[in-house]
Amino acid sequence: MRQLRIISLLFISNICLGQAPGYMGKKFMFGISGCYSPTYSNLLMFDRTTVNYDGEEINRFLAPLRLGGGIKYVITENKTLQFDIYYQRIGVSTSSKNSGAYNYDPEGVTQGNPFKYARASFTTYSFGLTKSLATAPVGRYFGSNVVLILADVESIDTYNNVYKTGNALDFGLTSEYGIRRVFKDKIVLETGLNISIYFRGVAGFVTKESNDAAADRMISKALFANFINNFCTLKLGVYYLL
Amino acid sequence: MNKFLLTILLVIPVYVYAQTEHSRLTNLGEIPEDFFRYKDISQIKYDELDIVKSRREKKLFDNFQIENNDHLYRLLHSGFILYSGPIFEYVNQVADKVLSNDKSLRGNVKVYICLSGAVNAFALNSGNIFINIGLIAHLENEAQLAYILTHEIAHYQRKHSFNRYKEYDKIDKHAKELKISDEDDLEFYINHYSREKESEADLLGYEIYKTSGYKKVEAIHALDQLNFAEYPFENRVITKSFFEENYLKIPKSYFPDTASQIVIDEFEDDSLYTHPSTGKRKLSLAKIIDTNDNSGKEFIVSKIEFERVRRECRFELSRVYIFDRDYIASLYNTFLLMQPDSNSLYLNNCLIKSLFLLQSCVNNKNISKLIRNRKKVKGETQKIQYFLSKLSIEEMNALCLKKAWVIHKKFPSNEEITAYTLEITKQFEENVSNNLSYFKTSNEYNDSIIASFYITDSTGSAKKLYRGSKTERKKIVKKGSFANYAMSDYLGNVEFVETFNDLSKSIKLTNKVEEETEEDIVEAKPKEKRKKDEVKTDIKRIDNFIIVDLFNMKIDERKKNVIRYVASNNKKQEIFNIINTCAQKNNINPIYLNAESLTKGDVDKFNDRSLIEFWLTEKENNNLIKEKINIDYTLLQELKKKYSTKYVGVISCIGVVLKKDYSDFLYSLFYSIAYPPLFLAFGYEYIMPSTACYINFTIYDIENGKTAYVKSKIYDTNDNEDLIKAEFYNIFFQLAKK
Repeated sequence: MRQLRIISLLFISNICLGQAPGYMGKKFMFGISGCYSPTYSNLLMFDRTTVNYDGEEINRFLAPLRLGGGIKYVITENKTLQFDIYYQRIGVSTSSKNSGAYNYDPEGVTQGNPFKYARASFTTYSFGLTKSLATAPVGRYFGSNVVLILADVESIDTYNNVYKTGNALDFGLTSEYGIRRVFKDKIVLETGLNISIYFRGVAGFVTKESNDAAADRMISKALFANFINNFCTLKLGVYYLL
Repeated sequence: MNKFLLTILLVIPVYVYAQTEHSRLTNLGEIPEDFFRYKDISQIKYDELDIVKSRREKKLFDNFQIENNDHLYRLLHSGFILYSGPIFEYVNQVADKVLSNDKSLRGNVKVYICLSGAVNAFALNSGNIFINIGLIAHLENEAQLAYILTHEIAHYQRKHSFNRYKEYDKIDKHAKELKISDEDDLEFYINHYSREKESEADLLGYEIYKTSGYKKVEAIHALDQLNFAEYPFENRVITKSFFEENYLKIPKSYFPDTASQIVIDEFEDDSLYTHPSTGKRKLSLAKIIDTNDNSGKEFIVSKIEFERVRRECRFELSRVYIFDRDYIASLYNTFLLMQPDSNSLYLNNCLIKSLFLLQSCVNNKNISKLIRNRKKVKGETQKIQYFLSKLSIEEMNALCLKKAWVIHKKFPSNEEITAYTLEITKQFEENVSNNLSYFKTSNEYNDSIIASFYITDSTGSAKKLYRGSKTERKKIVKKGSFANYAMSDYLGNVEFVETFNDLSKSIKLTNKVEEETEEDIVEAKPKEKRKKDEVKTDIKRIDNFIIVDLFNMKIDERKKNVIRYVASNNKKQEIFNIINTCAQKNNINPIYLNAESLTKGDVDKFNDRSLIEFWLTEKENNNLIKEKINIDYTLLQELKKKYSTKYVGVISCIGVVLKKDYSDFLYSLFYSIAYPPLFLAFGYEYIMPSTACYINFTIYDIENGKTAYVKSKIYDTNDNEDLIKAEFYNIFFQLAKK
């Protein structure tokens, strides 16, 4: 614990007293960002239809954005520390496009079930470090983030009018690559590509988050969908330099 | 009595003039308008006349104008151009004479002097003619200079510069039909065209020349001078006595009595040259000149002035050759000029500099590179080459040491000579001996002792022909060295002994410190290797420095005209403003001597800039020598005091749009099909242009020639304003950091 304190102190003092030029002397920035990826989860999960949070069928390429905001601080000549929070709501369909069957299936897994779907909201906390190839924050950059995801999942059975809820926690790593431009010495535009791996999303098909097996299964599906949909995303962020 | 007075009046100015010490050629008065006209390279338009006949030619002409303006602007501000002074004025007076019948043409022609040792002159489509001092140094009379001027005026009149550009484009367009596979083939065709135009300029130039009143046959004699372009302006016999001093005797076997004769082949194969062979040119001129016609004058403006101007040029050559790394040429040039002016401070200065640089080359084991660089060595210079190739490190150092102290004794109060003498002594101590006992006393010396040391091996096996000449290289068996006796007469000189001992102590001390820190350096090396960026700084803080050059270029590899001149020019001003802002934010006050910051009245700044440009060129050329003092030592010391800084900054910024490489497209497609999200990444890479940017910021210390700070980095993004701002702010931030 003592060592951790010393390391923390050293880290903070390095940030505070570090000789980082920043962009024309400006080191702190805050702003909003969004990540986009078409919905691929339905492709991998038995050709399901793509639905939104409200269960309405949508085009795969009109998948909801992961929106959020964050802060960044330039700590050295080319390194930037960042913290972001994202929020995203998705729907997970259990209905197969090709099944054509409207019979009720209590499991709703092996074949399509238009009466059952899950919806989930994810709050993602991301903390990481990026390295610019020029003087930070300008130019091409690459970096990695530690990610913590809080998921609220609802399993909805419209046939029986049953709603079950559950919470889940996931964590993972994100590596990012992109380019930052500064306009008018104040606005930072960040475009890039994020590659993420969420550990429970990858591994946890069967979990016990609640006492209900079907709900647990839906939570697993939602986490998996979250992982697949965010595996490779395009990132666009607008930040204000202070 | 009248005759006597006239003689006195004629002799006195010549005598006074002969005593005038040459000094570095500089400009005086306001900077001409021409130097600023071409700043905005897209604005200046030339008179098209009838040379542009089609739309394509119009486009070509526009590109040509921009390129030409850009080159001209860079040349005018290169620091190598004289726009005033006696040489400039005299050459322009001759131009006035030859164009006295055509005032409008004279108004369009502007003649400048270029501080280059090359025997050359050139004309641009804008009407600017440049005459090199190397050419003037070779001429025999004013009439020859007049013919050279008319030849260049003919180039301007016929717009040969644009025609060559047009021809280049034409040949490039028909490259396949002409079976042109590389640049050499292209040059071959272009050179053929150039030769035709040179012949045309010869004849047209003569048409102007013949009406000017100069002796007609001198036009042919002017061409004769071009035969000797590669050689010094005179081939006077040099003997070893030039290098000898009391107690410094050069062995006979080191210095050949004869050198190979300069043989000129006037009709040599000219297929690889831009100019026809001199023989052909003379023949074509001889057809229209009556060689027996002795009418006309060799001098119209002034013979005295011509000789004065030529003398100035010849003196300046000694300095220019040093900057061009041609120390041997400088040495021989100095020898030629020293015959009547052996006590000239300027020439002694040049001599000590050449010797110092040669000594450094020998000590750094680079002398062979210098000797090999001189192609086709013939004439008296060959003797110096041979002599230098014979000298061992010990002998070379002793020779330089003795010559330096002799020169120092002549000019004891000259700071520059003193500085060089110290450096030469230091080099001697570092490379030969730092103990005075190395030198034998004068009592041990007699005239025959040196000869007895060097015995020529007469066995046939050791004989070699030297560079194809008839001079035989014989193996010399050494039984001693003249180096040990070189300073025999200085062992009683208090200044020499004290300096030698003081330097010896400081060298010992430095070596001791180096030995002690050796372990730390070894440990530090792996850490240094980890650093990827080329960032080096030896100093803690730089408050102000002189910005002497700001080079910017934008390149687009996708286009036929790769260099985007207008964009580069516009970007330069933007970078200039960025630098200013970034410096101010970090409380650094750069002194701007770059071309863009000058105004008409800044002649002093213009000359200072010229001085620094020369120094930087010399630094770049003399990369064989690791550490040295400055060539223009005194002038740079004055500059340092004037601007209160010893730092000089050079800034370059190059932005490149690269050609896309689609060779991996199929792989990318395959991966995208296999995993669709990758389509986004590959799509982005293929749609967006590939760009790169190179930024270099170097600060030199003019005191010791070392690099005080350098940041040199390639970025894989475009040279956007934000990138440049961030990088320059960072640079100034580091410089200002305590």
